[in-house]
Amino acid sequence: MSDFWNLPDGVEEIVPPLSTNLEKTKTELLDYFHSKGFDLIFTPLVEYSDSIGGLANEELSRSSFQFSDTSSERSLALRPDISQQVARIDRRFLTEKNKKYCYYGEVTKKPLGSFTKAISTMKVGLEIFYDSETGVKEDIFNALSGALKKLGLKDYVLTIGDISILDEILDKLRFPLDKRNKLKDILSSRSKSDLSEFLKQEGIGKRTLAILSNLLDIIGDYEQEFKNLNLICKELKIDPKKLKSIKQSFDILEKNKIKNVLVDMVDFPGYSYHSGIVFSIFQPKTGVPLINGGQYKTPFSKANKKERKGMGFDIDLISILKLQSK
Amino acid sequence: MILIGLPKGRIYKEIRQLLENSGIHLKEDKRKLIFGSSEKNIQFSILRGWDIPKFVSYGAVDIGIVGKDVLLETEEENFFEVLDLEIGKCRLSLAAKEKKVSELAGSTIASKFPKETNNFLSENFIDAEIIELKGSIEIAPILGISDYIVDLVNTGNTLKENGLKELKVIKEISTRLIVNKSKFRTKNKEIKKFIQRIKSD
Repeated sequence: MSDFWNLPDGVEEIVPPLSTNLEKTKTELLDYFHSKGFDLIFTPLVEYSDSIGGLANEELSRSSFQFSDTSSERSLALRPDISQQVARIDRRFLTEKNKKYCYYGEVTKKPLGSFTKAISTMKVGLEIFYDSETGVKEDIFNALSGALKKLGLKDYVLTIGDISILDEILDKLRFPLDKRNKLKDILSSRSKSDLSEFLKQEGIGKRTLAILSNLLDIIGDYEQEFKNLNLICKELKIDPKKLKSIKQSFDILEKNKIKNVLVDMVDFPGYSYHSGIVFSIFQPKTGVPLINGGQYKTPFSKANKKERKGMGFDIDLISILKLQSK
Repeated sequence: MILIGLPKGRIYKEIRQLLENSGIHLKEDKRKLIFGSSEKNIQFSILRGWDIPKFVSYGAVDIGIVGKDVLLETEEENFFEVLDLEIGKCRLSLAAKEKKVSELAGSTIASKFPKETNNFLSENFIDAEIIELKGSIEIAPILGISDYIVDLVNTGNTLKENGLKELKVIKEISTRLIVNKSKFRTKNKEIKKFIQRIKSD
């Protein structure tokens, strides 16, 4: 019984002054989001394992803690992510209008490496669901800029990428669909030697290696790296319009005075359900992203027979507050 | 300022030479855990190789230099593997006294690298028992606790001296440069400049 009072690794009690600060900051952020037209919602902590995450079920289910409900004999899962739950709420309204939501809650996920042992944390976030994209990026990045000011986060770096450009590059290279998840794992590790070994094993040519190696090098100042990205797209005869979304995002970020923007074409923040613009915020004093966000197709767009998309971000509030108290 | 973790042991000298060739001279001081270099903004710390992925993942050091063998076994993942330094080359190989590769099923394999050994077995649909040891792997078949070993092989002399034969190369190993994912963004220019210097050597 000596460890009777011990908590599992990655689970913590939050006590003053962090608890007081957490409540205050959370309320300030939610009030701010509400003032920008985001409706506050609450999503359940527990869901059925076979449906959690909708289209992203396989990945979210794998990351979630699961247990059995003895009465229904079904497996239940603790939510590792809130965005996909919000998408289900949006589906209820069967609307073509843009819907804006903000949320707050605890998420738990299985630790993958020992570094990710923080299995439970508090997230504040927001999402917009839309049929037409007009004004969506502006709303998201304006809200992000406001949130950064409220949080008083300084010296941060924002990285931005676009999954749809990567997918387009892979399409042009006729990269096999069933090998893309494995490829994305390798790209996200940025290991050129692993990439070379993998392509060799799969019998994929040197041109693909050269282009993907160049893509791995795209991490740096927006102005320079956008030019490098353009060169890759030109070589593959990708329509320059495909780069419009990332350029437009950068312009909005600039308008919002969000500086230190880096382009990173192989950043896959959070879960892999993102399908368009993705972004993360980092700070030099910590080794993990503090804010993750992006665009994605909603889990229920097929059922709705409409291409409804979502865009949003979530803030790891505890990590930020701990960082600021250092 | 960037802080770089270097591994103790056999590849340290090679790494120091590589840095010297790039014009970065270490100011080693046995009394200090962190020491400077000829570059004002670059500091170093000598760490145990197996701990380097953890120090890098936590962002305690920005960059780590470590063997691929260690990276294959680590559970850490908060780093990018940005460069193959092409030094400290060796191979992770399957070896045995008398057994053949075709007799692996149902056997026992001693290794310091259980994760990569397991990957090799899974990829080849082979069921065998892995016995994890921390060192002196070559002695395992001699003392009869395993049929095979999976271990790092450089010249092959140690295997020969112990009556073992190298049966199959599982993975080519070399020294890699890893960078904390967050630090690669927040110290992007400094880190890229350092990588460029090492690359151009």
